[in-house]
Amino acid sequence: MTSWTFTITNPTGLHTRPGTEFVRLCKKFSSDIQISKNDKTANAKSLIKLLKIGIVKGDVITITASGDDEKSAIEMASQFFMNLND
Amino acid sequence: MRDARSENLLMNRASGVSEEIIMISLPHWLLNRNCTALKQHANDWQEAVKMAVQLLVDAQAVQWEYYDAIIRNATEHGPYFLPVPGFAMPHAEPGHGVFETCFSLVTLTEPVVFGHEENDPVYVILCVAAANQNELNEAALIQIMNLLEFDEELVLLRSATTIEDIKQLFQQIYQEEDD
Repeated sequence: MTSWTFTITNPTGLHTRPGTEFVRLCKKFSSDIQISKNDKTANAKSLIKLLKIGIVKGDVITITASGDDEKSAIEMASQFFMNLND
Repeated sequence: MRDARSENLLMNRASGVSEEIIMISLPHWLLNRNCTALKQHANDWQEAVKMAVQLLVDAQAVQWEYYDAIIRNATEHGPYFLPVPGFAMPHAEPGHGVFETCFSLVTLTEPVVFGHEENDPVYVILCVAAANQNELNEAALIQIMNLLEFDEELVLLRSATTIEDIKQLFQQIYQEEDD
C-alpha cells in the first residue's frame, strides 16, 4: 500500500472536469485507488463516488493505492494534483 | 396542506436543517420553484440546455448570460458534464449571472446528442448554477451524485410524467439514507 497526503491549493478544487480526467487516469492502473477527505473515502475510479466527497481548496486529501502498480499510481496522482491550477 | 417551507423541511429530514441549506437543495428547486419540465422535445442539445436555463431565468435565479457561459464552456472544453450515460448536468463556473445556487430538470421524449465519447444520447438534463465554488463542489454536485447513485439507469427520472413522480423519487432517496 502506498499513500500520499496533500492539501488542495487550486481555487476550484476537484469539480466535474478535473474529476473526470482524474478518474480516466486512475482507470489505467490495476491497483485499487482510494481518495479520502476527513471521514469520507471513495473509489477514485468512480466519478460519482469521487464527486460525492466534495473536494474544495484547503481540503487535506489522502490518496491510497494498493496493487502491483501502486507506486506509479501515486506518482500519477501527485503529478495530477500538483498541476491542477485553475 | 403543507406550505412550501414545511414541505422542504420534510424533504430535508425535518429538524436541524437551516434555511440556508434548504435554499440550495435540489428538491427545493425542482419541486417548489417550478424548475422542472418533463417529457419535453428539443431539436438539439443547445435547445435542451436553453429550456433548462429558461426555468432558472423564470425563477429569477440566473440571468441569460449564464446560458452563454455554458455554451462557451462546452465549446472550449467539450461536453465533459455528462457523468453517466443519458445524463447531462450543464453548468459553467460560478459567477456569470448567477444570483444563487439553483437547479433545473428537463427530461426529453427524444434524446439529444452532445458529442460525448461514451455517454450520448441524453434524455435527462439537470442544469446547475452555483453562487460560488464551494457550494458547487460541496453541496450541488454531491446532491446530483446522490440522485444518480439512486437512479443509476435513469429509469425513474426518464419515466416521470408529473412533479409528483419527482417528489416520490426524492422521498425514496431520503428514506434510503435514513434506513
